[in-house]
Amino acid sequence: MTARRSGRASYAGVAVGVPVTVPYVRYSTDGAHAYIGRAMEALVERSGLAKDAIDGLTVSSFSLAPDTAVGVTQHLGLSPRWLDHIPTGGASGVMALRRAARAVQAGDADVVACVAADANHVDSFRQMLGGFSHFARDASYPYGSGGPNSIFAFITASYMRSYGATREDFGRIAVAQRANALKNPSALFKTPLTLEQYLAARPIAEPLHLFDCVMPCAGAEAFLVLSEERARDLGLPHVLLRGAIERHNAYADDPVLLRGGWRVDRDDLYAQAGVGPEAIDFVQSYDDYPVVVMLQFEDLGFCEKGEGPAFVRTRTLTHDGNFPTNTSGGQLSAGQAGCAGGFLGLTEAIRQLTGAAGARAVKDAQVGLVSGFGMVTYDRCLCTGAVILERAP
Amino acid sequence: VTMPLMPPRKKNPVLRTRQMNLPPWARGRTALGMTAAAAEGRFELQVCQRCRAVQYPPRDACHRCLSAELQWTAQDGAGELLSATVLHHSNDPFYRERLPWRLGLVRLDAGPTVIVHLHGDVAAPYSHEAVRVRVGARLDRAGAAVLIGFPPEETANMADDKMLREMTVTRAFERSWSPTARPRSARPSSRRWSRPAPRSSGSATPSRGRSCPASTTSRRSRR
Repeated sequence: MTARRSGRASYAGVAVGVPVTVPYVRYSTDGAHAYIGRAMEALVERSGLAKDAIDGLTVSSFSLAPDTAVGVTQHLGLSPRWLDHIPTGGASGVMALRRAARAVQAGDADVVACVAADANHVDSFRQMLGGFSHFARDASYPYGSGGPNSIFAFITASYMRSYGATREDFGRIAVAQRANALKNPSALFKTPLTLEQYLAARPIAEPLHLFDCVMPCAGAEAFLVLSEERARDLGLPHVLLRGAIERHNAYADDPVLLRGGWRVDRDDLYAQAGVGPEAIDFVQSYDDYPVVVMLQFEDLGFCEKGEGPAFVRTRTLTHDGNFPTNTSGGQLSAGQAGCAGGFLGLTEAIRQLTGAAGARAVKDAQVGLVSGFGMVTYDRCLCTGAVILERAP
Repeated sequence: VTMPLMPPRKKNPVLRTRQMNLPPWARGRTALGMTAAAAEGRFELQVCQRCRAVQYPPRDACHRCLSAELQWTAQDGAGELLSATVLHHSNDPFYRERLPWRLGLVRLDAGPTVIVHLHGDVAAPYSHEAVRVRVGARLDRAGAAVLIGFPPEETANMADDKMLREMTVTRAFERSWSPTARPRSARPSSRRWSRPAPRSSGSATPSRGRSCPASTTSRRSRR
């Protein structure tokens, strides 16, 4: 597989702003529509736009069924002229932004609301796992019903065996993200985590232990995509989209996932942005498990394949460290509100680049990278994506 | 090495009784082809009649050439264990009652990567040395086919593996609680499987013997 970038138009002129987080709760009897409604309400209030001025909508949710995005339009009284439904979990944020950006550039929509929201009832996680995909129903859920824990246990064990990673290496990621989360009022986890506590946690799916796993919860994340001029006219703090990639089902013949599709397209990503990995001030990587963070460091070009363990040993991943990563705490410490987990890095990156990150701000951040990873339909995650965002002048 | 099956201890009536539940049984129509073969003792996967690619999970079109001509074909199940895990948490009531539970990720020599229930006699891969397994398809308690990673060679007391017994219906050491259950004397006895009942003075003591676990023995010979 080789990346092709012939004839691709740039993403110039696209602004992203108004990061909204509807506070997470562990369990809620509210449905997805309730969370989407709260997110839309906040987008309207904080942008100062009339509700009708939002003429594009993308919705990402696992718990919306039997509705799709179109059901949301009637539920919330919206009449967009551009609509998309992107229920691709951890990749949904990057994919929604890519599509919305093109719609805005083409004039198919002026202002696109990108919303991800999921409910979490007491038993809904189990029900979602059992019916997540045809392949999951036939070939993974009947095997212990561990959900993604068992798949990423295989991947983590395989990665440890192949590249000599230890639990301490993964622990560094989890501990640093918890430190970041303590400065994020929206994070579900409010207490510090030490490496000793990480190592002593109960096993979930060996070699994964409790703090390697995200906590499913209910909540929403959202942002607006519009033209740079429009954002300026409205006086909205915003960031610019410098590059975006996505890839699905890459390296399908690899027997176990030890590299992701970012590798295929990363040269394209950096070429679009006109910068290399060394120019990135922070990374919001997808973090359903620490091993995935390490894979992204490698596959997005911050280090070579297999150097992930050494990389995290020699970097400080906190917001004030020398390689700020998942400055919101990430899903590991903020919680995973279904598809909203795929938006978490984007809303955080917008905050970091618009001076809205409060106590966890990355000093002098100009350029940030956000990556997504989604959809374990059988034995691996299928969707990879990444964007590079830049502080607006 | 698998521990031979021992007679169960007397149940403590105060303790919670394990729920009667079944493993997840939902399968798509196409995937039932694997169950149909497993019911006759075979491990079959779909093979593309145009390009010979072996498919898994079960599909409706070839992942290599898109042909719809996929034919269920017997497999020898030889493969390498790529990774193993022990679940200490499950989202399904059946497995929750039976934790910890071992699983394996196996690259079949025929091509696909399959997730399997892992037999206790298969060691987890710790070094770079390949761990060979033989994958077989078995019907679970819900009547659906599941794949099991066996050691490549027969091991002692192999059929007594805890996972195998949980996945299948076995009558060994069953309790005669059912009003319709036949008394022990009426059951067919098998010299090979019988074991002396514990001596007691009263003849009214219910004996805990071992009836012939037909499913387990046939399972062994079918491998």
